[in-house]
Amino acid sequence: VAIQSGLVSEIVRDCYGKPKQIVIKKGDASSVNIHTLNDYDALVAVGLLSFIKERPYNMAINPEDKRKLVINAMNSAPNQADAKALCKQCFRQMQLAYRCLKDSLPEVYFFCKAGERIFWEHLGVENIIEVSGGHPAGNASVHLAALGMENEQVWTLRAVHLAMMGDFLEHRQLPSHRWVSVTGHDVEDGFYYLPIGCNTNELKKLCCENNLMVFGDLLTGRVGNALASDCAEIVFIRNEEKGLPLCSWLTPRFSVYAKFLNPILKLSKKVNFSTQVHGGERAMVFNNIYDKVMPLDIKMDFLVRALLKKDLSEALSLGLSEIVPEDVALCEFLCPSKLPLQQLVKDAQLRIVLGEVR
Amino acid sequence: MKWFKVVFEKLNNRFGNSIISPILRAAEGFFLGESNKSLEGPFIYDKVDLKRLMSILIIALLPLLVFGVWNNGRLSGEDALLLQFLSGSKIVLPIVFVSYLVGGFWEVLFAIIRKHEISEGFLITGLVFALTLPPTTPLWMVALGITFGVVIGKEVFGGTGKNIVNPALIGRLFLFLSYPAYMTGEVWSVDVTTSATPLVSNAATLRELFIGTVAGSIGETSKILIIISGLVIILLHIASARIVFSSIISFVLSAYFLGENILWQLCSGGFLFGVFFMATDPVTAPLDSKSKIIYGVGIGFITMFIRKFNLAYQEGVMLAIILMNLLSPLLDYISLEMYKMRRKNAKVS
Repeated sequence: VAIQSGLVSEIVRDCYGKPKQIVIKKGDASSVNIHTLNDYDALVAVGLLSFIKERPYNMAINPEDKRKLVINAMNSAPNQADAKALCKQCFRQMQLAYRCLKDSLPEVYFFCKAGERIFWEHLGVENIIEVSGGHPAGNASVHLAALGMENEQVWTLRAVHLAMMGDFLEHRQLPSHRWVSVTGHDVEDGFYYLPIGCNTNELKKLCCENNLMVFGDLLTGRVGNALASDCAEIVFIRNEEKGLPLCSWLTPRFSVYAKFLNPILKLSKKVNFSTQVHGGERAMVFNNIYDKVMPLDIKMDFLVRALLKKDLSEALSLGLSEIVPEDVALCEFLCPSKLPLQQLVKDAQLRIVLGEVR
Repeated sequence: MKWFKVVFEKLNNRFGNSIISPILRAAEGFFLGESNKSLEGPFIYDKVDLKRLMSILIIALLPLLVFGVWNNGRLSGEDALLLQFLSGSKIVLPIVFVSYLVGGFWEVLFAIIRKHEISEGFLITGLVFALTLPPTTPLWMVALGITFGVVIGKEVFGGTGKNIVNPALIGRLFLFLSYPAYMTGEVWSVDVTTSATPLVSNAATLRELFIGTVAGSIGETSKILIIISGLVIILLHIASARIVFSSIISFVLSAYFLGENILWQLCSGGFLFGVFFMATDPVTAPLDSKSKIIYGVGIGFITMFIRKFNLAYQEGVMLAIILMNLLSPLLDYISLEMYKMRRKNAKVS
């Protein structure tokens, strides 16, 4: 909670250790003068450090802990905002935010796409690590595993959020707008400087009514009524009702991962996605498909089985603490049983955070 | 199409919450497909679902069924191709039909009782079971076998995805143990020779065995078609290449060390069919990649071992797969414990 809006003064727990009540003391805005604070404390004061998440479990950080920070400028998820392209819009702001974090935290690592090192060095970034490969190579968990820090308490931050932090640092005024990448079906791609909190009706003017507006990327995004401050991208996706041919499931279709078929069957490389789930939820049948898109040392079939059984101790021993829901998004995309894997991970991690497993 | 949709809408309004709602949903899914939309991330999904995987497997099995129809028509003495198909259809299709009808009945019944979706798994079980039967198996026996397979082999464990042995195989095993004379070729009918796929008899040449123009179980005779269909499902990630190739390699090595004719052993019996279409069942096979190799090696070795030393019943692939099915949870457990230990050590270091 930002200092100005309130402070967590007490967490009341029940006999099992689960939080029962969180007492927030009303903040006194007049007691904080953000103009006199140093950059880091000013970011803390206005709550802009909430963009930073602490691993494991992507929790809110305690700004006083000051842990190692991993900044992620590698955007591999479909339609994710490109930090490099955004940086061209607001170079100075990103530079300010990066310097502030670098000076305040013990170590800052910066992950970017292969070939972008020179660009980011120009911004003044140090400790750059280049990553190549398709999604999920851009996920922070993959980067942490590469650094051998998957079991450490580390902070992570998406580079696109640096822009908003820098915007504040430049003017010492909480930004009312933020840069958001807008893309998808039937819309003009680009970065838009949009008011935070603007409602969906206004945003839908950017596109035709039939499309679904997704805040965030297509794998991990959400639908909502207003633009949240942590939303770096808006994607429009086709959502119209389209009748399926009779007995359509009997005609074989192949996974986008059956790459060898594309040249043989001359399948189009362009894929027109819509919100169609292409099936319904079914019993889990293990066919090792998750392992094809899981770069971490995690046996997904076993982990999902443990999650379905709600066996948290087993799930923890299989690496639940090393992942966040976005890491299983691609598995969920491919899952032939159409299981809600992100939700399973989210629920299990919430139960752990709430103290059901010690 | 629209007419169909309207009919289902009306039926859903009328019976949507009744006892037959799983049947309605299954029928709607079968004819119209599932038009679910994503309301939360991910907003995009791959086009392959369980039903689609099953449909590919069914398509892969169809050449074996068609060949079985033709081959049995030919063996019944018809000369013209059309008559061979007609005659073969009369022998084979009732078996497939009964297998589907009875298997489907149990599947639907359990779905209604449990109030869950009707799983499409019986479409595979029904076809695979029929293909493993000798062509003159009495229809009541087909019904009995598939009933045992679906109810005892699958539904008592909780349904699709929870069974520990392949339901088609357990049904076949039940028939084999209960009516061995019908299953091992000691009963002769007027129209056609009934037998399991040749193994004991040396009457057929290697070429005939490879092409499949011999008497035998409906879908197990043509090795070339089995290999082609099997490779297709491997390439589409439906069957595990690890299981198939480790089984075959282990089988070949076992045959070599036991002094058997390798090609003859490979082309006779139902080994290849079992390995490609039954051992690779993702529900009953191990999950871990190393376990899969051990599982495959076990199947190959046990099959050859039974063929060599069990003179009473030489076709061992069915027993080998069932035995390894039963062992696969143990194999997975061992490899999982090793994996956990490795992770623990890595954390400590």
